[in-house]
Amino acid sequence: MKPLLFFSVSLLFIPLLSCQEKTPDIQTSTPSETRKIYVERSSLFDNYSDQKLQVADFVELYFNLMYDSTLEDRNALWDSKILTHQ
Amino acid sequence: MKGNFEKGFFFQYAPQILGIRAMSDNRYEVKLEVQQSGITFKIMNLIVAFDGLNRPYFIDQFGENLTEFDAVRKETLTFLYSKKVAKNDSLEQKMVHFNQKLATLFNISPKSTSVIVLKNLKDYCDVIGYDYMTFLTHDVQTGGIALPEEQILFSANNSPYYPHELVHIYTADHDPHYWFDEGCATYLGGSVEYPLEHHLKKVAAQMDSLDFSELPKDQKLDDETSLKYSLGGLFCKLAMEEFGGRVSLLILLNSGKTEENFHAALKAVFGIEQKDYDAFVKEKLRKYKG
Repeated sequence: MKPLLFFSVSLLFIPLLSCQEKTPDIQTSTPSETRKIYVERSSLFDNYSDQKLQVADFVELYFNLMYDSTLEDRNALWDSKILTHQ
Repeated sequence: MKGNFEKGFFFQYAPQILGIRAMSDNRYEVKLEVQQSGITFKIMNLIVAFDGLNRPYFIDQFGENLTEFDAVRKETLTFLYSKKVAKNDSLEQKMVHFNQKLATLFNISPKSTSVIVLKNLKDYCDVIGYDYMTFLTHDVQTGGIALPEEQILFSANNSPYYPHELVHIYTADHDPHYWFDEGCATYLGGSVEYPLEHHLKKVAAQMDSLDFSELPKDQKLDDETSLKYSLGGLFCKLAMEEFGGRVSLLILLNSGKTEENFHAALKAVFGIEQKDYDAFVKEKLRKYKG
């Protein structure tokens, strides 16, 4: 069995599932690679703790890493050990 | 999280964190929405924890859920059953036989693959931590997907037998245009539980009103049948059975990904150019009409 580090990250790349097995890509114009993806935050954040803000920052960081980093970098941010136990 | 979205999509339509819920064990559940022009595509739950140095990391909730699955090993296939699905020995065996058949066709050893067996698309979403995806609104609530690099396929079909997706595990070793990739999977493994012939009959019934000269332009006939799967399958079937056999099928499966590659492969195998597509396809569909 392959290590789960690889496996868990695969979840992030699961395309939309449908009765036709695959759906078309959704694309926009070619972006500048240096631009940053911003993750909006709902009004609930007005009262959030620093820890929750840190969680949101981490999600935003990962969104940007998804496109501009190595698989190893992305894997390092996941806790993955289930399949390796089988 | 990434799904099929290009990076530019997220520049234009920023994802939004709807809320973050504190859980036990210093974990946090992040509810994240991806939408376009006010239409929601997906709402997912991400679990974040902190290590001893207060550094955040994601919890692999799918992996955690998988520990609750029942595993059945048969030869090179491992079936991992959701609690909502009853084990089925005969369909497992049928999948094993199909795996062997593919190995023979592609002249390699049978692939080792984990088959995640799920009740339906809702079960799939529950297991991977999604609250919503657009396909949950479709009439048909079954489906599947292959992850060849990870040697995993999801069978959200209430069955361990999902031949279409298993074909993708093998075609991924090649470099097919997506028409030939889906076509080969439909030719060898059917689509939405129907064999290729079922879909070809539906296309043939409507062919007088269809124009095939713009291939690989796709068109859906209904929720089950599209030109990409049906005619892609027809090309693979013709290559295998009438235009040179396995060698010709492999030409299609090694076509390359671009539209130019698609045209070049059809020229190489069938000797046709774009101006010929409509007449060629209609001639080959005639046997499926009426």
